Amino acid sequence: MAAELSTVDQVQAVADDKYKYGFVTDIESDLAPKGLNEDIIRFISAKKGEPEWMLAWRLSAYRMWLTLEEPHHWARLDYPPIDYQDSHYYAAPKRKEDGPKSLDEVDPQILETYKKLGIPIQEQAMLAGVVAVDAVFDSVSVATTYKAKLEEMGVIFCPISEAVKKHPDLVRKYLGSVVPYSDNFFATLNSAVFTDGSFVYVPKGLRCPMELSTYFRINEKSTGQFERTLIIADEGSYVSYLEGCTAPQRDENQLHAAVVELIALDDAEIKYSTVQNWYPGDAEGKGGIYNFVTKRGACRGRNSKISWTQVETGSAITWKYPSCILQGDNSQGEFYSVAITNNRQQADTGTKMIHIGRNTRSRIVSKGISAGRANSTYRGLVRIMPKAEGARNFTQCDSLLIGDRCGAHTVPYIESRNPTAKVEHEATTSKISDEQLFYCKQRGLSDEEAVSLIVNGFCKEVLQTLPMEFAVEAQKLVAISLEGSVG
Amino acid sequence: MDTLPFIDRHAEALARLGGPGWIADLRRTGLERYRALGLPTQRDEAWKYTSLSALKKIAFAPAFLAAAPSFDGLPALGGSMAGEACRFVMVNGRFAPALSSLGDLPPGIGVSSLAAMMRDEPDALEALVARLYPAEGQPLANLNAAYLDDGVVIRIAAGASLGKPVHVVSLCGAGLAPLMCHPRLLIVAEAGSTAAVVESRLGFGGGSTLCNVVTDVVVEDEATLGHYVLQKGSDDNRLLSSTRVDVRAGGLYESFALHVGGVLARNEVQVLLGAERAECRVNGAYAVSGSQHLDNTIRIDHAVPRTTSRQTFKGVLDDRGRGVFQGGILVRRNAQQTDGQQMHKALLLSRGAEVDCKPELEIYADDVKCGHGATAGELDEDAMFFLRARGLDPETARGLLIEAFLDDVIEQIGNLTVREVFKGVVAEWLTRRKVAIKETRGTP
Amino acid sequence: MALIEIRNLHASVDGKEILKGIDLVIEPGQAHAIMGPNGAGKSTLSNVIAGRPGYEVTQGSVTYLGKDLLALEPEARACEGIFLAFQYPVEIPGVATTTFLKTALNAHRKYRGEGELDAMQFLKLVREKTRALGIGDDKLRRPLNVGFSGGEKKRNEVLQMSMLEPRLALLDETDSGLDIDALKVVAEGVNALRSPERSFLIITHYQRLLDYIVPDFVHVLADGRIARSGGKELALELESRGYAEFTGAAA
Repeated sequence: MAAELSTVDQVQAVADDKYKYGFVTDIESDLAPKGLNEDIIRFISAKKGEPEWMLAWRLSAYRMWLTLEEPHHWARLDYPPIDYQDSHYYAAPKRKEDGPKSLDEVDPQILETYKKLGIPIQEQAMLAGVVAVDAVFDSVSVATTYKAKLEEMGVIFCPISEAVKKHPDLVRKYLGSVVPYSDNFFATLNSAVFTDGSFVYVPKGLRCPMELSTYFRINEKSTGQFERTLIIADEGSYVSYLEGCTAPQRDENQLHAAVVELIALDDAEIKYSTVQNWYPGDAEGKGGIYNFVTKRGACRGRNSKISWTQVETGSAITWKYPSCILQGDNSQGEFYSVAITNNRQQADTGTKMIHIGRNTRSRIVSKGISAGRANSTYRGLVRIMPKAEGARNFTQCDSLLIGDRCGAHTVPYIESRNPTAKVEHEATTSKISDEQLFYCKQRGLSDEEAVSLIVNGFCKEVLQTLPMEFAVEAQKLVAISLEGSVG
Repeated sequence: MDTLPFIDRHAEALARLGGPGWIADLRRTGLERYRALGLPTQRDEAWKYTSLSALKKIAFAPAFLAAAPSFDGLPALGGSMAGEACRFVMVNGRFAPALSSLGDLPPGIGVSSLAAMMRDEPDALEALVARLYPAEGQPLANLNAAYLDDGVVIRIAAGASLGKPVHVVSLCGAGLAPLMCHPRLLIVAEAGSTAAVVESRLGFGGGSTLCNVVTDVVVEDEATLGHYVLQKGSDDNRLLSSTRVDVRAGGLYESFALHVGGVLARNEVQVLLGAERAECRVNGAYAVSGSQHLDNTIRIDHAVPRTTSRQTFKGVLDDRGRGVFQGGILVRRNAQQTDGQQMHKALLLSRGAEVDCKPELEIYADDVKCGHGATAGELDEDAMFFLRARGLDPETARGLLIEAFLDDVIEQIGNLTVREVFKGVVAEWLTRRKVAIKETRGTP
Repeated sequence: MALIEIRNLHASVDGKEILKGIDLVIEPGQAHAIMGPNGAGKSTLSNVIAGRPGYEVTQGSVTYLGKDLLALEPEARACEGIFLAFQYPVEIPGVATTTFLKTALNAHRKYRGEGELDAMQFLKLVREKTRALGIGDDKLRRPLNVGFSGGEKKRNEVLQMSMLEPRLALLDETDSGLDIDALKVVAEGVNALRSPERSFLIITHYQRLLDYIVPDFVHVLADGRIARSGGKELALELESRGYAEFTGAAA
């Protein structure tokens, strides 16, 4: 503890103008002390070896954050107040020695889930943190090979902290251009303290031939508390990016506040898929991750397209609205979502489609499933601006309730200011009928198999937008998330 | 001095208002609650799309403290309706016997002025006191209570069945000085009765008015009540209406709000379906033009099993008109076999018009049939082309399609007399629109 | 050993007694028809055998292959070889018919301790069966029963029956809602499945179905009891005379 404090003292001693790269080497600590203040932010920035403009940006965000109130009045979420000073805002990635020594030391419940998901034993070891990824995993070499190939094609795919140093022009141009640091309480916090995340730049005219991060998902270390992702698809390019993991992920940090920014220029397309399975807490609602995420894509160019697919099964609290700003004429936004809440989980999730350009199109398909004592809310905004001639939106929002102790809510906001635009919204609420259950059981299926089958059918339209191999895992995940919800 | 609007002359007004002691308590409670709650702002989810801030800039005086306007123009406002059973007229919130015609009320129905009841039948009124207290969390209804003065009490006796509608006309108009009124309506449909009430909320220009009306409705067991509201104000009239409805077992509350004028209007309807087989249909249609703003905010509370609700609203938005629909269906835990549906369809006729729609479902029971739909767009191009191919000019074709669009929901009005009257109102609005278009275009 | 032995079976729905003492023994290979007026309890009998929730057995026993059937969960009864062809087959949106068939078949195989079929083996099997029933591949890809016509739904039931190869098939008003051509197709499908090991319990209001699926025995169910039993000629007699004498007796 004393060592940490002295570190802080050192940091404090270095004022803005005296900031030097060199002093980083003096900082030995792997962990920032608890709490959040300007010194901590300087500490993070120094740890990352960031240029001055980055620090200045972080500090502006921090000062803004101090003036903001945590949004409480509109989301249908109920959680105790978060003490933002009771958290470490920087921790170096854990070394192998800190983890379990073998699979025998890992929580058997987690191993059971890995098994159900069909994750190979080697990957299990990595997910559980038993072995260092680079030590054995074959796909690392695969990954390295691909990385080299990507570089050859001109794709930049690296940690954002690396991009800040190696590609400062791109980062400065685009960071905060979709989600400004002043955007909202959680995004502002993220802007001040983010420590890791990905940066992707796809050059003009290139169709990125692989799903980014498909091969990397395993070896990415703890994705962290304040992840920051920035993806730029230059003119005429295409990229599919995959985030998350079907395997249950545990994290010591209860609060997660990620920011993802996507930029699609003329004729570019970005497909962003997420499977979120953070620890949801126990059946009584104890523990679990609070996931406050700001994800937004800007279709800046004409004919550009951004497509979000999410399968949200984890976290105690999910607050997340992946959105599209459809600026370019003829640009398109899509949002496909499955949100499953069980036990005491709460999710308030949806999207925003902001139609600015002419002939912009958006499509929203949301499937919310509630079980146990959980509450799931779809909250989505479709806004047609006056110049969005001929804009089109179609929204389909379906809720499925399993049991009579849960809640399913739908809160669409539809705002149209252009007479030539056409907006359509439909929502339904249903349950798994006794008829359906009995029919399945009469054909030999157990309760859980029946629920899995019916719910997967309910979600099909969304799941089939996932990349193939991920879709299969997601289907299993749907089943596992609802275990024990019927019968 | 109060920073809150509308109550700076409250003490002065109170001194002029009579009634028994418990009414004074009620006014005091209303004032306290209004003070505590303050005027709603757009930060309140329920007021996200409607701002009252412009109202704060106008010094509305309580109507009975303001100079009385001239009523010469009243007959032209269409205060009577073909087929009405009786007519109860209020001018700026106060009963106007001279304009009313209550002569031969059908048996089983009581229509009384609230002020008269305070004076003549305080005991009968006190039996209804629970109904006179507005919901705690509603600032405007409590503001209304703070000024409780006059209004109408309609009682339909158990088992009574009335063919012709009771007509309540509420006229608002000011001289030069802006004025406000806070009328109160109380409708009790006793067990097994069937009746219809039409409320015409009419306004005329001259000076700014604010009418903050509160309506309380009880539909007792197996009763059926039709409650039809016509809003036709001018660009000087602002209307804030809060309606609270309590439907008992097997009761049916059917309402329809047709809005064709008024610079600012908010219709808030809250229905409690608190007993099995209770049912409500809260429907409406609107046409806004100029820079009018209309907000329909509906909330249906399905509190017990086996209740049914429908919300269907259709709106036409012209010029810089703005329409807001906030529909809400709440299905409480254990309110199984709820059947609740809501639909909002908007037609935007012009650049500058805006529609904001928020149909909300909040569901805590699994065995329910709930859904909603919403659309916004312009007239169907194919239909337009079809009509033009049959020789209609574009404006006529457009008018025909708009009329068909609105008539579709007006057709759902249960009372045939009212249905026809409301259709007529829409037709009239369309004629006015057509004339206005011709005038703006001038001669070619 | 009898395939199924029903003794003094009493059952209620929502506290109302529907079956008031049924005795019925079905030997392997036999086809029994249960006929009777509406509300007699015909469908209740098949639902009780299949274990539909909400049907409470208050008295009596059902022994199936020597086991106490009533102690088994519905899915275990299914895997033990009891197949209910539903009067109103249920729609499951988003679940392709093939997916459903495969899941059901593998559930049966798992129960029997057999390995799951891989995609190729399964497709081969399903092709064989569908060809015989004249069900097109496009139907298989469609969500289960969603948007199917009455005939298609019933054919789908027979397809499932042929895939799952039950020991005892309960046909609950399989003829309802079918025109004569659809009825013939369904009946042919059923007849193709008749074998010395497989038994049928055919529930129907009309004799018409029994022209195509000829039973060995016919029972008249009235007011929760078997009022009369006979050979297949009993069906013809009922066709001409109606159920009046039984409803009268019940009243």
